[in-house]
Amino acid sequence: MALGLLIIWALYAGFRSTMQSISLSLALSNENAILRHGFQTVLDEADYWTAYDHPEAALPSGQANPDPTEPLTQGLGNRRTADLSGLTSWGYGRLGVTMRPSGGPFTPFAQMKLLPGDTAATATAYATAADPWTNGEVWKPRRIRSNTVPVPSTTQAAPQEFERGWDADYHWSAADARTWNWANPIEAQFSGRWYEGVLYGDHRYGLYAMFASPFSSVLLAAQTYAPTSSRPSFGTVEPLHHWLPNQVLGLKGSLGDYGLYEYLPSHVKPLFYGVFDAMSNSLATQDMDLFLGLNNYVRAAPAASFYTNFRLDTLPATTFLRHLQAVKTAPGAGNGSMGSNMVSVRTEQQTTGMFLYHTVTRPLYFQKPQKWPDVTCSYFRYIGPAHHGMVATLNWSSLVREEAARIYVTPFGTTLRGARQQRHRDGGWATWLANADELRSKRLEHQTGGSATMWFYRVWTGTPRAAGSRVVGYVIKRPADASAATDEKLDLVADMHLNAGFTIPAGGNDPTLDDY
Amino acid sequence: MALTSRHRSGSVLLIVTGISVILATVGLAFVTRMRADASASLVVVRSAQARIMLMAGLLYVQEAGRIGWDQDPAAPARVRPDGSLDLRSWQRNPDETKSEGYGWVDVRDGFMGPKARAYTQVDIDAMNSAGNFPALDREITRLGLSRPLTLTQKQRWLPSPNFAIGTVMRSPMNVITRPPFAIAPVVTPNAIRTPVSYPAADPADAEFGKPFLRNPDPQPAPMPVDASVTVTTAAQAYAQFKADDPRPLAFALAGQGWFRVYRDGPATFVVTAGSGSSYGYRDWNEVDAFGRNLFNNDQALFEQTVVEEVRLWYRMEWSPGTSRVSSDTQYRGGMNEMAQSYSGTERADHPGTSPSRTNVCGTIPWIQRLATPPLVW
Repeated sequence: MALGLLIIWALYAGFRSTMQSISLSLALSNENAILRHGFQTVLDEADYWTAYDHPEAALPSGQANPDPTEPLTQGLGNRRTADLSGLTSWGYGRLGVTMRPSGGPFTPFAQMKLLPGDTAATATAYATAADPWTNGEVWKPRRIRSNTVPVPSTTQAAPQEFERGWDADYHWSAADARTWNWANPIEAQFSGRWYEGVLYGDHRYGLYAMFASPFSSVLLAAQTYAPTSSRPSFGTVEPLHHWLPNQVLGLKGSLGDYGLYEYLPSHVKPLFYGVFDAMSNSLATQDMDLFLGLNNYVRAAPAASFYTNFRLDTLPATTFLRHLQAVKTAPGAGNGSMGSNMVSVRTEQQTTGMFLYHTVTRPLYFQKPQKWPDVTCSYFRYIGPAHHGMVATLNWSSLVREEAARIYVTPFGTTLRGARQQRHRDGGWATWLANADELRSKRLEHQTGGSATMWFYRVWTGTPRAAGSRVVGYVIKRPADASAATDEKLDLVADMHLNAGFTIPAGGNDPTLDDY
Repeated sequence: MALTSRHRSGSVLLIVTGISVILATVGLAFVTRMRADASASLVVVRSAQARIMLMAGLLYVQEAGRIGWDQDPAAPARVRPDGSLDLRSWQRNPDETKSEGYGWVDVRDGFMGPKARAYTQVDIDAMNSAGNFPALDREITRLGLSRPLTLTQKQRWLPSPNFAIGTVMRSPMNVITRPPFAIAPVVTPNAIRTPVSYPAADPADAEFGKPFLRNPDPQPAPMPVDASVTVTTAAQAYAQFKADDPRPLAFALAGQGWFRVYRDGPATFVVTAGSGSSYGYRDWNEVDAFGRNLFNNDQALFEQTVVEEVRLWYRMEWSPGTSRVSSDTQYRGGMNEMAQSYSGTERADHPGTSPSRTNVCGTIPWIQRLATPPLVW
């Protein structure tokens, strides 16, 4: 009897332990699968940036941002445009003019619209004015080939210096002098600063603003800096270089700091000679100072009349906090002391930090069985020395093993500009040469309207849409432009599809092209 | 019936047998599950390896803009305005010098590269006439352009003499039997002779303890790639030194990575990063004789490897910019080449000498994952 019970017990215990072991092994295996899924999710995030900007406007129920106070994770939150449209004073320094509010990292160039109150007449003026700044327009993104500001007949500057806007097909050739940094940093060091009891602001080391400026024409008048420094008049000069300063300003205005750092080639410093005359507190043609790093020597307010440094413009603190997130100290109107200066600097730094130093955390599963481990993925993107970076953290807590753990992953993938090119201008994904719809897709880098429109064609083996004819490639063509040669309207992107032997004669009526 | 010791022994045997069966069942379950997990984990491994291949592809783009090119022997002699031939650089022996390139968009003249020599104004003027640059002539014909061309047009449409737009390269990253220009694994070809050196020399030897640079360092691998060739001349020796044996080593057959680079613009490329055993061949039609031998001339085998591998497509741009991008740098040390920060702000009166982390191969401004493969890659 006892032996029989022992056998039964042993069989029961064996069967039970077997089932438990198999069940545990399945659970652990399932955990491994979930972790693999988490790893793949991290890699996908590295490539598609959906935690920062989900291109699908309507997320499935339960996948929307759980914290509406966090614009970063609000899907399209990084595309802020409309909610800033009412601001009229957010710019790059006090220029005495109405400035464009800054866009976000995923703001489509095409959505950087005119400020409220602008009319068609002023819009036309922006497009044609020699200096769009003077009309309050920092940078209206557009294709540059057919959108240059008029080149004065007497200018010494190269015609390409008058181009404005972002051209995705321009590769910033090092052979092109307009891509070089034209500035003398030592000017900024002493301009308007007390140093060892002497106020330096006399540009004793030169005045490079005569060579490079956002303006095509500037008056460098005599300046007297109390009590001891002065500068003679340089007269009205036409700087040879003003394309690069406009690129810097335009990118910052359209994309914010992270976008600026992403789009500028690595050798380009975000510096330029800006304009600010604290004495008249207005857009001045009297002085030009070097504006370093967009935030160097900024002053919260020009309390001291002789300061000629630049400052961040004042932005309503509530708005600032709402949109720039990482701000720890509200930027107030200080008195120019170092303390408030640093507040502003820190604020601007954290404007960048909004994107760089903000960790986005998302659950791996919004709905799951109770015994599955809780897994979250945290993403941390930054721009470090000489590289873009991302650190992802995979956190999980397991009921089965009663443990919490995390692993760190440093994936390598798409950069911000690449992510912008993945996205359709009007929402959703843009595709890449996969089907006809792709070519109609405008990406965040594309602009709309007027001569900025590009035409897309399918290249057929025979008569378009005829039986037996098939699409073998795509061609991007720009509209006719009387000022440019026909061949320049062919985009080089299209060229790769022509290497297979298909030719496109000059002109827009090629019978093998199907405009749509 | 009373239980005897024999019966009890049988019961123990029964229990042991049952437990053994249970253990075997559990073990089998574990092994089966582990096998399934291992198969599933292979995707993770290959995903990671493919991204390593992405980096390899990007590095290739960076380096290939600068090094590894011959002297463009196919280019015709340049015709001077007076009708004479300028043989400078074009007609040199391609093996004589490996030229240095100056970027995919040449930093010297803005034309597409990589190429050894910058176009001079004489070259640029010569582009106005047919016959001097046949590659440009072909583009003009193909695109229906007409001369004269602007400088911008010339820069856009004169193909690079190396790796022109439309070029595809495939780079399987497996270990091959012998690379080209293989170096002998000899650490000290000029070892100082001692009693324990090879060859040895005792203290009485005249060469004892003396450093002679008698042999070249490094030394080429001694074995000829083609054993059937009898090397008797320097040219033959150099040819053997230059040749490679691309057969993959056996241990490197599994889990190999590869990448492909396709140039689709002056400075833009499609980099395909892969992890698997396809050696980077796009499809069976592309597999050459060497590759077909690797796959035993079995199309089904090749296509099975394609199904099992990971392929990722990226588009990227190369930039000649060689400084560094950093918000922190822009903020604190943005002028680091000229005035290094020491306290968080630029101070030109405290210039530092810390250079930026520059490189000589350019940088990658952006990378874009392509969700679907492009038409050409």
